[in-house]
Amino acid sequence: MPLELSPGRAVLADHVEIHEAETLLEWLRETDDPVVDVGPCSSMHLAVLQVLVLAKPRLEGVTGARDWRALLAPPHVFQPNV
Amino acid sequence: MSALLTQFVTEGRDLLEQASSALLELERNPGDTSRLDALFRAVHTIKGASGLFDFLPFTRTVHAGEDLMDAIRAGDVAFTPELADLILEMLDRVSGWLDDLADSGALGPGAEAQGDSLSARLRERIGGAQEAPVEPTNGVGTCVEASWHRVLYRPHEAVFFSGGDPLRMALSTPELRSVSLLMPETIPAVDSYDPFLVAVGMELLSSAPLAVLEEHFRYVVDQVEILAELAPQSPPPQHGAVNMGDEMLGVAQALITSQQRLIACPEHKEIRAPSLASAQQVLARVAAHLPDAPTGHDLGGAPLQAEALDALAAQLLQSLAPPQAAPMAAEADVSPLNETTASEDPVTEAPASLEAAPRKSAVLRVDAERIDQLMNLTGELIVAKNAMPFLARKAEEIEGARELLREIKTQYDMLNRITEELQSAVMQIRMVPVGSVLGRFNRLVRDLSRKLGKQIDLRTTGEETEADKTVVEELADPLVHLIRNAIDHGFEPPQDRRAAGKPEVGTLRLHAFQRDDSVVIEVADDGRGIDLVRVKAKALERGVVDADTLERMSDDAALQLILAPGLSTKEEISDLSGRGVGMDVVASMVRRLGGAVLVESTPGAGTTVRITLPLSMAVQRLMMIEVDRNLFGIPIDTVVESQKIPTARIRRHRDSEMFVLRDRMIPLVRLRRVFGLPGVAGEETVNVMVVNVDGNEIGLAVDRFHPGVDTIVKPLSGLLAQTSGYAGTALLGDGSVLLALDLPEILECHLN
Repeated sequence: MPLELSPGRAVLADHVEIHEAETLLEWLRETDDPVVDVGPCSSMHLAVLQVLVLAKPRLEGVTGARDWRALLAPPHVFQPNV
Repeated sequence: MSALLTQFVTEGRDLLEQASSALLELERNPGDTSRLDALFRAVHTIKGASGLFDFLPFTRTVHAGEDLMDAIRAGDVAFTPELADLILEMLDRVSGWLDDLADSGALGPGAEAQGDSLSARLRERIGGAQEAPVEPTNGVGTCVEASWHRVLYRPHEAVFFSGGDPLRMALSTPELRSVSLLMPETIPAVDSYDPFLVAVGMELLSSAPLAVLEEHFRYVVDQVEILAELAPQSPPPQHGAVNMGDEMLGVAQALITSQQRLIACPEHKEIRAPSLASAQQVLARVAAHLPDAPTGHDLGGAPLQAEALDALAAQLLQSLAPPQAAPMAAEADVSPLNETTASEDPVTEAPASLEAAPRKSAVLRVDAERIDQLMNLTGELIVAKNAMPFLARKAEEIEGARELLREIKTQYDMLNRITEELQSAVMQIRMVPVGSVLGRFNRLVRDLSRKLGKQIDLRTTGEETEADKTVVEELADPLVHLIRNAIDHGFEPPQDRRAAGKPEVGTLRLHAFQRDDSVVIEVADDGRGIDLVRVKAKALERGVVDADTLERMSDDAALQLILAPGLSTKEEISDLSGRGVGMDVVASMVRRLGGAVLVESTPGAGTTVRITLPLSMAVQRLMMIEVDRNLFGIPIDTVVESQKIPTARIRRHRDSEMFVLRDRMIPLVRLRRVFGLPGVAGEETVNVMVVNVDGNEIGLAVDRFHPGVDTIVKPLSGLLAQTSGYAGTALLGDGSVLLALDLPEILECHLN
């Protein structure tokens, strides 16, 4: 399952498709101090990314990420290793 | 595996192929700089794309390879065959990693160590001093493209509804250097926000040429703005006030100049203040990373006016760039691209000429699996279509259904026509040039000939000949065997060639062409040829033929004996062709594909092996025959004729039977006997299907003949996989299973 929800905590894995964006947003609206773990996530649709950067839940698996996940946290900049 | 990774793996493989063919060409003509450039470009692109993922050993290794090639380009390092070996090793390693990525989405175990040792060895050649770690924070780019591009990508609000994913599009931008999200002016409240509307934009920085970027964004051309950007120059360390890599320098410059543009932009009053605030914030952040930025504290405080901000930005730019580069950066930046293309700058002119002829991509890249699926469905449609004659026969038995019968027949004709057209259309899609396989052998020939100390020139012709994808793919294995055989056994060592008055460099020719419904591939060497006397002796010794038969055989026919199992005339076992893996393997592989092998050889002048394969293997026409109320299929191209032979004309010679048909003596094979069924007593005539198996005519005695049928023959699998005598099974229109006979095996069965 790309999106696994448990009380207070969501885990995104593999590729998270656009249709998960709505479920994720609903969950973020209902949850107090939600935590989202994007560690196991390999890629996500822009819609999902948008939900995360606009709703600003606490994120796990982003700090120190050297891949696209750097986009999830301020300053939302990702520089590929060239 | 994510779509982005899949794309990376597919494109990576293509690029590797390009790189290795460029490298082999380069080895042949070491002075050819265009090949060197092609090699460099391919490796450079792989490196760039790999940076999107966190595969550090991968990126590090390719980066080292790229630096080495750059040094070769600059003339600092001489290109030698040993160097080519090392680069080939790197390409092999990368190819292995791509396989790992395709399998598991991650590099295999030990990648770190492999990457370290390989990149160390690559760097050794440049002279280790130029070591450049690929950490994103201080990556020092070695390539100095003169112009970069900045892409402002603001997807339409409703773009999700048309199935687009702007993020994927952005991340797969060629030679992407940086992506930043552009947040909406007002952050929508979480409670009222619609997740299916696009709210954010992206700003991308890429070092790819304009034409490449325009190609990449061709479907969203109205949503992007591509601006020229001066690439960061390699800063001579004594100039730069700031000690930072030129990658970072470029990003910092880009960030500052984009803020300048924002400041200079006459926007609506209501968003003027937020724009300035945002610019100030960005500039403050950049300044925070510049240890000796003079203005850092000014930016952190109260909101500044446009003029003040602009001045501060200019100051920042100067503090981080060599004095002469800063004004250029600002200049190149403020003019949108369509204005700069007309400038005298030679660098921007190159992409402009490409721009004049925009490449409309008429070629689709489709997953092979989808085409296979389409083919399978077409096959099933053909089988389903075959059910209609059965239906018609049933209708015939019903009283008063003539009208229905006629309608079924009309419908059948129409369906037949459409399926035939569909089939040929799908076949056309599956046709690929054999060059995709022939091209791979450059490497094989090079490695083998170096190993054996023989000089061999590979010449490939007819690469454009097309055949079905499966046929082309299946060709690779038999060809590898043939080429190994030719290099190992066919070509003499250089001293022998000289003694025989031949050029020292042997020529191996691969020639492909189409003949009727077949594709023919010839592998020809100008080596020593096949020693027919030894082949005959070996064949007798191994009991492949008896002395009588051998006596009667023509030389041409005797030559084909090397295709028989267990016959290898080379006494010593080399590690190339190995033991027992010989021409028989080639022959059986080709036969399994429904093709034929023919060997021609002239002692002292060389050997030619000719493989003939059907253009397509998917749909086969089979002739149906009946034996003891069971139906069997025979490939229609093997059928010569069908005859009723009076029993009186069948002659016996020891155990075997034969008959004379138009002055030809044709051996008779009774299928009932082959299948272990009782014979039919007292028949006056025998139904004989004359077939041609490997150039010999054979009469198959059957009970009845039936019409031909289009089928898809599927090989036997599972428990039945080892059953000999059958080429496979096919489904008939009435749902029953048809066994397709493997005639060479049936014949062998009969002889034993």
